[in-house]
Amino acid sequence: MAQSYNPMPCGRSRREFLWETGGGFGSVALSGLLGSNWLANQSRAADGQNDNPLLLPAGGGLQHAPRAKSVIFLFMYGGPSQVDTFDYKPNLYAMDGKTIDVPTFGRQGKRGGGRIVGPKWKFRPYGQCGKMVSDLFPYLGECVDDIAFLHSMYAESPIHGSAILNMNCGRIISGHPSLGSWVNYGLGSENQDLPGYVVMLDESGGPISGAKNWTSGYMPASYQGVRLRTEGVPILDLAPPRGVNAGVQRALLDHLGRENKLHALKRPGNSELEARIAQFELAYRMQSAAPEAVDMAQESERTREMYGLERQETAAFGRKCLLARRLVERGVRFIQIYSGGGHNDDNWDAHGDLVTNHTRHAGRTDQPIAALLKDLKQRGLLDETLVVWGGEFGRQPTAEYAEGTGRDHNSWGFTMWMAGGGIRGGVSVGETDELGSKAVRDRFHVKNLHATILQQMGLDPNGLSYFFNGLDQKLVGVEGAAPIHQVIA
Amino acid sequence: MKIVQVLMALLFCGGLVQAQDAQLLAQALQNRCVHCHGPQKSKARLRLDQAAGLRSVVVAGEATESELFRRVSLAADHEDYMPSKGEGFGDEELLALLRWINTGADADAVARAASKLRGAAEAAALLVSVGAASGTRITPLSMDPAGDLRVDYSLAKSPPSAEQLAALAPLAERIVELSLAGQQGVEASLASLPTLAKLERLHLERTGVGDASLAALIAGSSQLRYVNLHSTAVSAAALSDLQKLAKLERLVLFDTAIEAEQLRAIHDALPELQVTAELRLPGKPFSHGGPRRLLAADASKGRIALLRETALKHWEVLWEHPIQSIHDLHELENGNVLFQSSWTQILEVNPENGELLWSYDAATQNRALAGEAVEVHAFQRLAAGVTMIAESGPARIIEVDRAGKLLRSMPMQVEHPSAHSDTRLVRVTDAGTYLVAHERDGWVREYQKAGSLIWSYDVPLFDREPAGGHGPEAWGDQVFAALRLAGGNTLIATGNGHRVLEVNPAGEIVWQLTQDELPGIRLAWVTTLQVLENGNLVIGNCHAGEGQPQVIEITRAKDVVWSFQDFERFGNSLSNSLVLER
Repeated sequence: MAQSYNPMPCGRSRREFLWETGGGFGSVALSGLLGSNWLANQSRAADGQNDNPLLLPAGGGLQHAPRAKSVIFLFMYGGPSQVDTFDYKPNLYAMDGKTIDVPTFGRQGKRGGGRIVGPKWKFRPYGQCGKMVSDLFPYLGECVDDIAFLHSMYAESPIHGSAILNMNCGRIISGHPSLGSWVNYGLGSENQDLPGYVVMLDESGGPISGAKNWTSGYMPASYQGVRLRTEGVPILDLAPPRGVNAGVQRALLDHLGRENKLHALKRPGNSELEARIAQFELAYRMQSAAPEAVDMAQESERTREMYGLERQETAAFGRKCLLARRLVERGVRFIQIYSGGGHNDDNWDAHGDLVTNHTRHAGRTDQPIAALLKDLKQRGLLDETLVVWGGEFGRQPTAEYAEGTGRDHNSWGFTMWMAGGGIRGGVSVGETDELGSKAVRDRFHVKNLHATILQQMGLDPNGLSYFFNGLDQKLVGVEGAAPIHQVIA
Repeated sequence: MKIVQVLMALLFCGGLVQAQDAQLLAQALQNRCVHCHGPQKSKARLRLDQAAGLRSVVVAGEATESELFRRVSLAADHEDYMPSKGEGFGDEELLALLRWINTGADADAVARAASKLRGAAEAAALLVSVGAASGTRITPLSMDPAGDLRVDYSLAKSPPSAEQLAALAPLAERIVELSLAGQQGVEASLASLPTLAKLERLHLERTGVGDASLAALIAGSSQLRYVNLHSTAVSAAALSDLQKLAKLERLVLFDTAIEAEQLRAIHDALPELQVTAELRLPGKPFSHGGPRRLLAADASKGRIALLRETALKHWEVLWEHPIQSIHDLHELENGNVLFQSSWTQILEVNPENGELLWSYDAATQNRALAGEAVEVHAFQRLAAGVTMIAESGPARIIEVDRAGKLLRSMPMQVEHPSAHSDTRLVRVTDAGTYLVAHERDGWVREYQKAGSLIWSYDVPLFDREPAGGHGPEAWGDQVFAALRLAGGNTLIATGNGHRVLEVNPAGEIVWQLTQDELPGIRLAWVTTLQVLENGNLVIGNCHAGEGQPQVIEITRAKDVVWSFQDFERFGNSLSNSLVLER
């Protein structure tokens, strides 16, 4: 039988073979000619410099027709409370102040019960679908017919640091590439003059662990997120020093490129080096492309008003949302915007006064996000742009302390939503229990969310892999995860 | 039967494997062998790009006897190892070769696969050359080397020239999607674009193109399903051409010169067509009814304020104004607030900007006698800017116009005249009568505007002796408000009687709410009355003391569904409130 024949006559193990052939670009170009099945099941190399083999003409490498070209991930850092936003629990109001036995797990550890904090906002129906939305989001309420709500999300950790890595990189430990890196690794950047992965932070600062949340992990550095600022210089350290004109800079880069290529000749397959050369060149091109992308003066007065740029409360987040649309138009694959940063009430982490905290953060984001959805839609962009909203976890139905309305973290059940990019609108899937405490029906792990995003981008979530440390690493883990088919149009 | 099916399935799978092996092998031969054993060079007179040559180095069914397999599977440093230059066979390729030989070595299948590969390579080369000449990126949309293509100029640094667009001609019949998005100025070159007969999706957004260019562009593209025209100069003149596209499903027309009426006309003509035009957010949030607003006043805190319930039991101040005294307030239809700042001063203010729009001073205006004792405890804006004002002291109800000119005056009937308490609230009923709460008298009286008394009701003391004070310990019939209900009954807030009564025209009590009926709530001076859209009642509970709600909403079944309590912004004399539902 053929199968019994030793396929490694030269004495190499399969693993060695993969190390040797899987690491070079040549074998990938070949693989590009072999068709999608092969790609779906193989790790592939990426040196961060050469054209992405998945986009080679003869390969047509997308694993299926993509529904979305870009992702805008609106990260509500700190963890918004589901029962106060989109997960309507009408019976919870009357239970306000009552002590109840319900297991919870937050930063205070595991508890057996506590004092119920009733929802602090009234809910009212919106749209054709009649979705109940809390009074925190009167503008977003007008968009529910384009939104799919995922009410039964759960994550692996109720602690910010590990949970945010879970949401961004698929694991609760650091060192793994983030979602935006996977998307750019799988599809390549469309715009050669802008980074394919952009991150915009809150004015109060970055989230816990900082750049680990947009790292490319073990992938080449060219896949990491680039921080873009909406005021002042868009990208720090991009402008050349004084006295260095374009000619001098070009000559310097050309010389550096020659030296680096000589250096690289002796170190074939060194992706870090190749990525660095590519980054120098990208930075050079971005010097003109980035200021143009962030130039809001090109936007009409009506657009600026719609995003809330004229109101102090919404101006900062509004600028980021408007910039996100401009980046989508310029082919940027993955854009992440943080609402909330720093510590305590600078983000959605409402341990103390829930009303003050959520009023503040919803007030700053409601109109800009609704404007983003409407604006994408009126330009025909929502069809191909996947918008994702959510935090690293949700919050408990019970109070954290003896006094007050503060809620502790809750990774056992929380709400996220998706819109556009081939997602069905006006639907709600999954359920938490009657307290909104724990996902109980059609539960969706963070991995399922990631799988859905990859799927909509035209990638096979269980096929997209990167060979590292002897494993075909995947965003959704080697066990795999199914996309959330209930929300896919 | 089942065995036959299984065998069939196995055979079918075997066929698939063979086809894949042939393809992989053809690829391997092309990459590793043909350079030396092909059309350019045929070392040892062996051509592995031809079936005959391939047959000459294999023994069908006997891989280990086959020279080709032996040579490519040797250790790389063996003198017989092939290829002598370049990278050797990979393990997948070796496996494919092995299986191919052992399953019969069908050389023709490999030749066919090789020919297909060459076709694919040529097709790819064509895309590259046309792409270079046209200055764009051309993307195949399927695995078929002659399949559908997408042409995307949206990220080009400058719009394509006429020559570049003309260079698309060799591929014109395969282009199903064309994007010129964002290429302002492309219009000048569009005439050179070859006819794209198979075009299904056309992106012209942000190009500024006009009607003539669009018409020319779509004339030969009858298969169009999607056309994006946002931010172009396209006008209604283009619609007739667009409507000729029988397969059109989606049209994006935001920010064009097409008017809303014309959009409606398209929708009526082609209801199946999805047309996207401008989408706007509501100018204000909660356009269809939002969180409750409350207008409330407490003279002891010197404040009238308009509040919004941002979260349940959490209020945001939208507007406030200092006052000395107050017993009546209104929100007008235009959103202005009509209130009093003293017993004689009535003001109309726009709460959005604080602007004073109207005022009336009862101490000086329309006064026959200078220094006459007068207090106002009720007023109401009627139609055409006319304001009704009830004067205690003179015991008359007047109506004045915006200039303050007296339009009408009607004397009231009071048994115990009092400049402070001839009346509390007075309301003009739907029938046009004045319904008056006479506080000092303890009567509700209804007058026709001409002056005749047509209905009256003595607020009962329920056989209890009056008691002094203002809180729950007080007792009396100092009625504060009376409302005529739709059915003809009258709802009465009895002041220090701690109750709400509903009486019929015959004066019989048909419903009442007494002092201690609501759980945890003790009614004190019951002041204002309001009937909400859902039929619930809102009642003012003044002087009840800290810890008690100042405003209470109940159902007719006496369930408390909402209450307001704020002893910081307001105090123990929150006499007047109005729930604003919209």
